[in-house]
Amino acid sequence: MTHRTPPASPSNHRPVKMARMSDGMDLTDATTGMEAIPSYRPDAKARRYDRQLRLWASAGQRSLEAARVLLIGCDATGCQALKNLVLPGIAHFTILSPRSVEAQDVATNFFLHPDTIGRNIAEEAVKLLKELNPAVEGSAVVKDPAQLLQSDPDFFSAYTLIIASNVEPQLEMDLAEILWKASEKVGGPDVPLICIRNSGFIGRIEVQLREHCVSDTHPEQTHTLRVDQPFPELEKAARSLDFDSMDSMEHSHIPWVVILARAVSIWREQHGGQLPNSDDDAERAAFKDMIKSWRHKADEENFDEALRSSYQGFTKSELFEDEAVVTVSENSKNLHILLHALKQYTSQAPHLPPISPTLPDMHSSTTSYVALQNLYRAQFNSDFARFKQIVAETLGRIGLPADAIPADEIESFARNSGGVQVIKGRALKESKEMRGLVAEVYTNVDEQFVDEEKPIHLGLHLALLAAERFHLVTGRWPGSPEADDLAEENRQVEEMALSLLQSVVPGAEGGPETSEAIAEVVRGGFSTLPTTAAFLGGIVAQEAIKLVTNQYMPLDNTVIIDLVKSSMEKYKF
Amino acid sequence: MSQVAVAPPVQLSSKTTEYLASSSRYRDVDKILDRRGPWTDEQFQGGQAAKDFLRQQCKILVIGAGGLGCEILQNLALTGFHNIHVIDMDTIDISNLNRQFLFRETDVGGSKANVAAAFVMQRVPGVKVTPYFGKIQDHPASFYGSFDIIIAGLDSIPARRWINATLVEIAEQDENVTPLIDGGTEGFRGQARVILPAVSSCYECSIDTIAPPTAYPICTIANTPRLPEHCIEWASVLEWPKVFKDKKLDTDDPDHIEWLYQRASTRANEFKIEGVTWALTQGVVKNIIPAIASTNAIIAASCCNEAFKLATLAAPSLDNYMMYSGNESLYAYTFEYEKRADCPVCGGESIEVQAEKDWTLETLLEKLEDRQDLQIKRPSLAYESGAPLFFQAPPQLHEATKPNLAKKLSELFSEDASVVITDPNLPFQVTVSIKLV
Amino acid sequence: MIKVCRAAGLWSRPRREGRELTELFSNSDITRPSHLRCYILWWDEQIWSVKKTEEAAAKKRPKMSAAQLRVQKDLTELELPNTMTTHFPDPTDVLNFKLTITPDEGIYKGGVFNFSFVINPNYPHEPPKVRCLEKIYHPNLDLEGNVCLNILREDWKPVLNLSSVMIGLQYLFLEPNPDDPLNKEAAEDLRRNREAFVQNVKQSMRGGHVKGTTFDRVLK
Repeated sequence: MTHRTPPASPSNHRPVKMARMSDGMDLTDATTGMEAIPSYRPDAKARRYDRQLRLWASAGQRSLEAARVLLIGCDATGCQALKNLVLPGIAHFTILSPRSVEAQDVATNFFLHPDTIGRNIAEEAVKLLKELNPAVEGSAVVKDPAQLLQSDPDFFSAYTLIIASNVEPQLEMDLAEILWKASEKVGGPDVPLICIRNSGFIGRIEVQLREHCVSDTHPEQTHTLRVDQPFPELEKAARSLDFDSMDSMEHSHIPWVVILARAVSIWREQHGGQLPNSDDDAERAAFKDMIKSWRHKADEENFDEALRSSYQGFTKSELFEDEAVVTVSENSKNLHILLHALKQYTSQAPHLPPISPTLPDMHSSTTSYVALQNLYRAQFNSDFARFKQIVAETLGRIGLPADAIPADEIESFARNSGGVQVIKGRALKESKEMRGLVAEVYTNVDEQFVDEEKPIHLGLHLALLAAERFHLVTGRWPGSPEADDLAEENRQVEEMALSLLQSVVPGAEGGPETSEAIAEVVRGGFSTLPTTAAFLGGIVAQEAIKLVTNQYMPLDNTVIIDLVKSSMEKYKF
Repeated sequence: MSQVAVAPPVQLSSKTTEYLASSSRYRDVDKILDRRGPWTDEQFQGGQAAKDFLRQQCKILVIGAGGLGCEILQNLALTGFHNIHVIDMDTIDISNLNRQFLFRETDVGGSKANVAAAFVMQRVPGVKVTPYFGKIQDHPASFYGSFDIIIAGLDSIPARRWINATLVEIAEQDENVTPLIDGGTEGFRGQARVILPAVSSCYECSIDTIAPPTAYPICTIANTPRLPEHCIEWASVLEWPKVFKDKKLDTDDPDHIEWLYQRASTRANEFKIEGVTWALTQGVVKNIIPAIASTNAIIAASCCNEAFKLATLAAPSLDNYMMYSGNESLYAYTFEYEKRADCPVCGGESIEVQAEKDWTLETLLEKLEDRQDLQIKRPSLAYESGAPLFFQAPPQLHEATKPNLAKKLSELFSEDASVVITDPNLPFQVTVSIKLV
Repeated sequence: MIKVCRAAGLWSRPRREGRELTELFSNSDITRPSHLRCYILWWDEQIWSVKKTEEAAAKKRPKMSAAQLRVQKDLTELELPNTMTTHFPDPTDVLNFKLTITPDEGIYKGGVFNFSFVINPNYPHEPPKVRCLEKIYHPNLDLEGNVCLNILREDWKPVLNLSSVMIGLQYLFLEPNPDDPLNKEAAEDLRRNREAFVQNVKQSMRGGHVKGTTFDRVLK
């Protein structure tokens, strides 16, 4: 660009990174030169899903269209969550409930009509939810979930994801435990369970899964360019350029990646193969000074970009580590097999995943940018060939056909393999029983917030846990009677909350924030405000989409929502 | 002018009639309205008073029947708001159907406001939704002043600025503060805020923090394209005006998009750039923002939660801004956006002066400069219409308006009027209402 | 801090330590209106009053748009050098005008260059639209009058103003940038042979041809 004015204060809104949509054009068509360009106007389906394809692209949409979701607890919150999954086009949903529609259900749930009062709630809600998207299948199972869990536990593991909305605490725990155990063995079904609890303005969402892989996190910085260890062709190209003989335009359009790769190469040569030490101010400055010394003018934007990114020259690209995918079997999920192959791939030098085949935009001429892009693409193609080979060998070894994983799935994994993230989940039962991480959080809360007000969310979580205990003992929710005198209910819940707290912190006292939290939770009486239901239903659907598409980092694993103050806090319990 | 559709008479079944008569149907919401929480305001009356206001008196307007609007209408109807109005100028497009869940394929082409209103009334018997198919600017300020609460689910910044300025004006002139709850989403992120016009910070206070639409350097577009977006902008920004002169590009016309797509593809081929697609072309020229049902659900729910709290006092309202992001795990941030003293809409000072008709403008200015509370030194004045009355700069406008200084106020104003003063010494503008005596 | 209340029990803000709202009310002589109109309580740490409310309510708002007000501020605080003048075809309309630049040094000295400024109601969220009204030979302007100036497009921020844009435009004539060209030929001429480029500029400003293209005469 031409003249630059000093940058204004940074804006707090950044444009969303949009996924490049594939709308039917093959790359070969794009590069065949001057022939007539076919139109490829999007078809009805692509138009319907246009606004979401711009987020998760066709790969995400394919995963979504293969997803089968089960809802247990056919209440307003659960149906709101389903609505937000039917609209973007999951394959199938099932609602499991033997209950009949009551007036209060109709009053809070948009997917029930007063005319259906007395009929089966699952069947009625399925009818109205299905209207939202003709491409989605829906079915009702009129059975008692607790009995079904006893008689046919495999019923549950046939789903991609399960949502349990405000179900009885005992059922929630039993379901969580069965799913957790099923996922224990290698290749066993690892079905994510999302549990919802709400009472008035207060809500909580818990996610249980054993393991989850994010193949595309959509980070702000998308590309692993690996300038700290330039691949041989890149290094060669960077070293072969004669900066000084270039004319001013050429010089001011050398891509910063090339400038940085050259700087790294020269530095290593001069420092016995070592990168600049990122903890050493003098070395970092010397590295930058080398780049600065190549400038012809003070305002060359490409050099400014190189200096801004210079940390990439002394930040060592990390080797992807994941211990869990050591063994795979014919029952393994595709992603596990791919992760396993990646592990093998990175066991060889340079101990890094396949390189990114795409570049971010940078100040450069078209020709040098395209040339650089071709270098990266060629390197990716060669990395990818080796990776594909390892995947094929792995599939053969565990007795699966070579095409068990579709070619484009392997490729899209390889393209993003530099940013792969793996989440190790925890058993919900442990957190419900106040063991493990949740106990640690409550043990440390006093040290953590010495002079500050303790966050109300921990109090709310304790109140919800205590209320679940209350339900286990009495078979009903605190605050549920119509009577307005809640003092006794509060007292009983507070007693249970204290005993829970004291089980991890002997002698602990709840303090006023716990009492307030309990009062607000009991006030709600585990009733459903339609706004709270919609809010939680939105979050649950976002998380479900992230889990199903393996895109974007999902919640791991608990969020407590306070709609009195419109605040929320997440914890790993 | 917008049209008000006449709602078809709804035939109620006996079951529905029975349902509407049963007092227990609001059992869930009533728990919150009959009970005080630990953080509930002292002013909360609860019980019947709150229910009556919510279910009988409160008149609420929803601006926009799109992604947020559909969700908002659903939530309001279920929460117990009875007298709901909705305004939208748009018609239904197939690309709305992935999130605007009150519409079906057969509704494509119909008015969003009309279809949404009819749907909600059918699904939630007993609720009254009045649609307006038209532009918000076609209604007078008095229309907006007649509502108790307004919720906006708009995708346009100019429309937001307009309704915000209108409500601030109503608040200041008629002493009628109509709360504005504003929601917005983009991908997995969104925000909800509560604006008390003239009291809290307003939409305009934050205008500087909203990123302008994405644009690419024109020299890159012209000479060093690297991205498919550069080729598309080349076609729309440089080629279209060159080829079609004064014919305006209509980004809703598929033939226009087709033309741009063809040109952009050809150029991309020449430069060996990959990735120009029809959808990307459309996205770039229409500045399409990704939108999904779940994010709309979260933000609309937050907006309606605030409306419910305002109407019932069941909990303190949001003070005054909540951001939500589901991009990386999930995250919400609630804070008070501060009012800006120099906000061109809600900021500034306002004074009233008695002025004699025979005073010259210069005399008036001298009197104003004498005021200790103002510290005016180099004032520039404009009529309410924005037309310069006396400008210090630039020279042409200074020369053109200087003769006004010697004119009598009676020559400049036919009746009582307001003028707007800016001054380099003042961090805000001053509105002077002149009472001619 | 502010507290707003409606008669039927509308507004609220979070409880503050030490001062309950009932206390505020009991000390007040506020009578609650029977109809549903807002009244406003200003909470100013320790004291509150309705007086300020009355003042606020007495404010008269201009019909002026936020864009117009920003333009008024921008224009009346302009300190243009004598090489730049503005011209308003309709002096009551501050949103459409012409800027004339007459460089007094550099390669383009002696020329008179006019730019149209069109400011839409979404200013300053969107930048002003600026075009050169003459066909001129310049590395950073094309033959249609498009201008390549970063703050007119990709680097526009609402905190920038008309002055920033005008200064930026003037700078184009003092320091044409041949490395990021809009007119590639002109830029190449400047990079290859500055002397020849200067001759081309002179030729073009006289209304002559440069490499087959006729330019507008822009001499004073």
